[in-house]
Amino acid sequence: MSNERDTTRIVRSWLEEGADRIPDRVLDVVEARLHATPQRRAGWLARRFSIMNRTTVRYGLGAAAIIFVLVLGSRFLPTSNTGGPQPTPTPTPEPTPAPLTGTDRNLAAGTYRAGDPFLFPLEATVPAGFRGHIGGPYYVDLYPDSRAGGLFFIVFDEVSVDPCDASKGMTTVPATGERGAKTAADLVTALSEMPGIEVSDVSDVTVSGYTGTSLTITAPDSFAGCNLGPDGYVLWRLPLRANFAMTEGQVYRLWVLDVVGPRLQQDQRLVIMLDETGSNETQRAELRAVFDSIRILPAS
Amino acid sequence: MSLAVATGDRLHAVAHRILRDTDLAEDATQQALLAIWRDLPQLRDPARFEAWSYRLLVRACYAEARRSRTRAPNLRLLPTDEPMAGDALHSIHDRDQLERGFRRLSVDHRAVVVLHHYMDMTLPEVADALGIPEGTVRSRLHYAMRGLRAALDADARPPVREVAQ
Repeated sequence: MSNERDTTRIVRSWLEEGADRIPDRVLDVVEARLHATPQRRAGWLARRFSIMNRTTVRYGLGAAAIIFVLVLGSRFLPTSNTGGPQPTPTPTPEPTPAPLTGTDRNLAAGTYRAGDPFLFPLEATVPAGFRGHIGGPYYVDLYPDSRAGGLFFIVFDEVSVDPCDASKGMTTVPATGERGAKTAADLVTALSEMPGIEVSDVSDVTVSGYTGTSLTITAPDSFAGCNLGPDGYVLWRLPLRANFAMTEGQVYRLWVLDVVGPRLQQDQRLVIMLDETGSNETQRAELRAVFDSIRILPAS
Repeated sequence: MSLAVATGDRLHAVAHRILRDTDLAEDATQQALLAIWRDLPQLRDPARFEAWSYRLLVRACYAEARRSRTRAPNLRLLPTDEPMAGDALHSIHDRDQLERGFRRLSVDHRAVVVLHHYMDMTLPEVADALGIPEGTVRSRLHYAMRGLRAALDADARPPVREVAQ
């Protein structure tokens, strides 16, 4: 029989085993998610302000903030190029969004949520006359029934070495972020260096609280002389080997965002692609409105 | 930055010992750090930061443990390739029995054991961190240690052949 002292000694010894260092990837994820995590207002501050010395209040909050900076390090301070904490989605009083499903179907006007299995849960509001579905972990689409363009949410790491020459195959976009993280900048660089593709209107953006880069890519006016494969002028390939191609002179507007996936190891980029091919002014306005309604939700 | 890492390490170490699972502990630590950030403006007394952070961490551990029950019936064992900590840990059997006994405890009970016996917090400090009366801490600790002692004593009994389920 163990006596109490033995048990305590053994338990204490046993508890000494185990992890005692926080993995960098956990800190990376926290850092990424801070941008989309609004701080709660200090209700007690408003209530107590009248009986507390202003300096005391300021000192207390300041000290707490300093502690947190010490806890998490300066890595979590806003970076200069973002100009401060990222804007976060404003809660709306709309009804619960309807789930987008794996079946491509007509959608009634309203807000839809693309959840599992897509890697990055998100919501968007569509007008009447739209279709959409979740094509798997790496693909969601929302597009007008007329099929004049659409919005596509895609995740990929492979791009064509040369879209004009299928024999050169695909290459994996380098991951040059901290500790090998995949960054939006890596993908933007890869697209910018892709032969034959014209890249324009490059700018830093924030979409639903996530930072990234927007750019316009334009395919050559002619593919004459190209050695194309069965899928045509392929730019990139999704992980499940679905190729994305462009037609001659086609234009895509891309938002490449740094988004952290639902699991710690899934640091990823989310690409939102706006295709306005064949759309009229009204349809373009609708697509833009759908884009403006996008809310990328925290992964849970 | 060294202090930052040290504090993150401290939270993660506690989560790992409460949950006994690497993935769950990482998720709990992550959630706790985000909760700390989110609720920081509501912290009235900066001097209570440490105790407050433990409370958020234990909440996150509780949530992760609850989620894990829907994900998988069993938690994964800690890696066993680390050196034994001294001669107090008599055998692999002790370790296994402790592991099993510990898993039978609720997160509430585990938290008290870890904060008191691993973090060396006094019972009033544990009570303050968890936001519960000191008597409750004492009771939970007693119950938990009794369970662990029973688990260790089971090791001394004649081995029982396990029947495959």
